Amino acid sequence: MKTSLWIIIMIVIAFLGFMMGYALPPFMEVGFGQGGDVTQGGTVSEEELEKQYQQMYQEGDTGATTE
Amino acid sequence: MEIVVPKKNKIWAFVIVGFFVLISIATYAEHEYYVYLQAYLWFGFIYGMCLQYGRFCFASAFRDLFAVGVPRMVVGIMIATILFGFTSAFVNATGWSTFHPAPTGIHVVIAGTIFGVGMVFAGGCASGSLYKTGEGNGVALLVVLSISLTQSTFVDIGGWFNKLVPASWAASAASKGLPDVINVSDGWIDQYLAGYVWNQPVLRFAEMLGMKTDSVSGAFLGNLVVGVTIPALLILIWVYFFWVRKNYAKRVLKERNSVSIKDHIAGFWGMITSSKRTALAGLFLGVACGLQMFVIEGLRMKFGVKNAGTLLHRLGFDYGLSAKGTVFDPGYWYVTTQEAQWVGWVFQKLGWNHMDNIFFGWVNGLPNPAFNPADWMSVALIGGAAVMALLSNEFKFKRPTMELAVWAIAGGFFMGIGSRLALGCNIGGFFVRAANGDPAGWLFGLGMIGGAFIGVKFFNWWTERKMAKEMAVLDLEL
Repeated sequence: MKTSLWIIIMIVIAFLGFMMGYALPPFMEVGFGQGGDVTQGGTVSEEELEKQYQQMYQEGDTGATTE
Repeated sequence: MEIVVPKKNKIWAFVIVGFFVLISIATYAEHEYYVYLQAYLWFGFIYGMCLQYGRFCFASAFRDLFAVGVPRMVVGIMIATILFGFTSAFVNATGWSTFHPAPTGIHVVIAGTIFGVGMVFAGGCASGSLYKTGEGNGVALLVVLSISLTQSTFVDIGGWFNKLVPASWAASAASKGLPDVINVSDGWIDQYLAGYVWNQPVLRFAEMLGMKTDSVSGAFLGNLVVGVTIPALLILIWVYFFWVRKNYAKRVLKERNSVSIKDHIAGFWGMITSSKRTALAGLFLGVACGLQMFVIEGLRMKFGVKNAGTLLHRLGFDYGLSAKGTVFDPGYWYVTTQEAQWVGWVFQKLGWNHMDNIFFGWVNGLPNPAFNPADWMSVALIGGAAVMALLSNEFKFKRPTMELAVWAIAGGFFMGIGSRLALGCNIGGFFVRAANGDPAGWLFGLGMIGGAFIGVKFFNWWTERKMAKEMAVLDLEL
């Protein structure tokens, strides 16, 4: 039991490490204790997206465009 | 003693882990945005392992305490809350916490009471039912289904129920300027949310004491010490005073003539250290919960988003995003909202419009469960619990009896109602909120304890009545 469990724990740690690798650099760049607006990039700004969806709803479209 | 685990169990455990690994690799190969969903997946997996290892169940905790006077699980949960509070304080102090406090009011206590009754009837809380489902427990699966169905129906119920809405709520809700498509004047929950809940104060202990949550003093002194540790210690003292003190004093009096304060401190410490397994699970849960907040916030910065809805939109999945383009993306451990989304999505597909209410249409959306971040967390939680159960030889398919099925459905119904009224369950409504210095968490906890007490008393009355009837039949037959 112990060996199997340890293998699984190592797999979980590996994935956590991978995700930490993704998540930590932005903190390093912005700095800890500097909480604020997280949006810095992206193809469509969230405000634009919100407007777009509200518009869609007003027109009666529930957004079922890709399924 | 080493547990002998059948080879079949080990193979199944690795099949489950392999499935999640495969999903992670395949989706990452498709697009790196899927890392965001994978974060939910792997933290869910950890929660499942910890819950199963620690038998972490709020229903068992209060049922054991009120019915048979065993405080072990309640003590473990309180210790876990303090430990999670510590990691939360650290995250909050950095200013990058994903946590949002909830509106505080009497409604949270009422909701907690309804939830507490439900969890005792069901024999498992919201998170407990999920991990027990992972152990192969059919009753727990029924509870999960009942919670899901109740919530998704409750949030969209209108018609005659609109007559039960106070005029002040209706007027306040109408003044919130929600888009016409939400149709806020039709729906009890819509008017409850926009007309009452949104008007309640949003507080944290740090702010109540004149500190800032995202400062070291606010996070550690205001939230952790005053908002988490002191209330948790008060509950522990209450448990010791009413359930442990007498027996401990009896033991001491066998050796000496009197019991001193020092003895009681030793007894109190003994009570705390007797819950090692639950406390250890709580420690890992606390660390994982805090770490998830960090990872999700880091990923949001990395991808330049505030909500997973934007990522789904970029990936080309528009279906079921809310009117604001959002989906349910709490950034930390949550249980019941995604369960409501499962059933809500099915209803939506079957033609019952669920997107005209605040819960789905304005806030959480109804994305395809296959791309719903919080769903990944819950499915992985069940998987993590299954892996742990398989490796400790505790996995077993259990079919519910008719009687247990009725209790499960009834319990799930009450938990579903309580969750939606409080905007969270024993995890999102109590554990996460209390650990983050939100007084709404403790108010929900108070209600939940009261509800569990009522539930236990009702359950005992019902069982005694049933046994008396059966005995009477036996007497007649004899």
